[in-house]
Amino acid sequence: MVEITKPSHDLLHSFLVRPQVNFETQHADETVVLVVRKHPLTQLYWIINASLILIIGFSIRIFLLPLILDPIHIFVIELFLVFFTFSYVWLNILLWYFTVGIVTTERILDLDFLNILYKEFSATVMNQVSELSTRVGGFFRSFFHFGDVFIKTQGFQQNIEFTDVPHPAEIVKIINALMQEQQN
Amino acid sequence: MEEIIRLFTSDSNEILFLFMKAFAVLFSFLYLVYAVIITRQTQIMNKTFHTKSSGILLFISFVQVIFAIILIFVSITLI
Repeated sequence: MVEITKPSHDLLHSFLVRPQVNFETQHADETVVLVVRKHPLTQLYWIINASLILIIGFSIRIFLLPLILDPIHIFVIELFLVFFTFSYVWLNILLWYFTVGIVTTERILDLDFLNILYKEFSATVMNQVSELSTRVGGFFRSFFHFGDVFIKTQGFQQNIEFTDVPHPAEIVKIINALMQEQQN
Repeated sequence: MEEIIRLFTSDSNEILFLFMKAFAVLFSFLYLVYAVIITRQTQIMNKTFHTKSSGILLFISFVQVIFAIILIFVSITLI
């Protein structure tokens, strides 16, 4: 069980309890209780892609390019390869870092950066939440304990989804505790 | 394979290197535009969701602008 009152925060964590963060639409008396990101394992695909780009690129550089180009041209191609790979990695880190689910003392917010130019923001207040559910399926999700959390709201309000987040059951527990706190 | 190697090493490869330079300069400028957009977007993202690491993230995004300037310089002068 995760202790709600004990803060935990690190640059690369994906489950942050009472972190020292704030967001654009935060109210003056609103405190952030939980911030969740996608589990780091879900980011493996671009790490593998970047590694493959570098391995293939440098293999071509070592075995093929010296036969057809002079060292200056090879150096320029190397620079392009390294900088472009860095940009690809950095873009993916940014998208992962800023796509967060936020639970505060008053609201639940979902901030999605689908790509660098497109942002989606949805929020609901605690007392409008009608149903909380989790879904953990598949070998990797069960083994590494991450899954989806669905937050349904009353009426025609939009529903919120935290996908591929660690400890989905803990998130539901924390939201339930906060809802009870609000009712009292 | 030998024909390809001959194409690059023959005396008539000046056009090819000119072509390569044009591509390198063009891609460097496109990379600069991309780096500026990423830096600007990082500022917006930091404003939307602010953490203690916001400064570091913005700095790393800005480093790409420097990379792009290096690429432009290298493309124009070295090739």
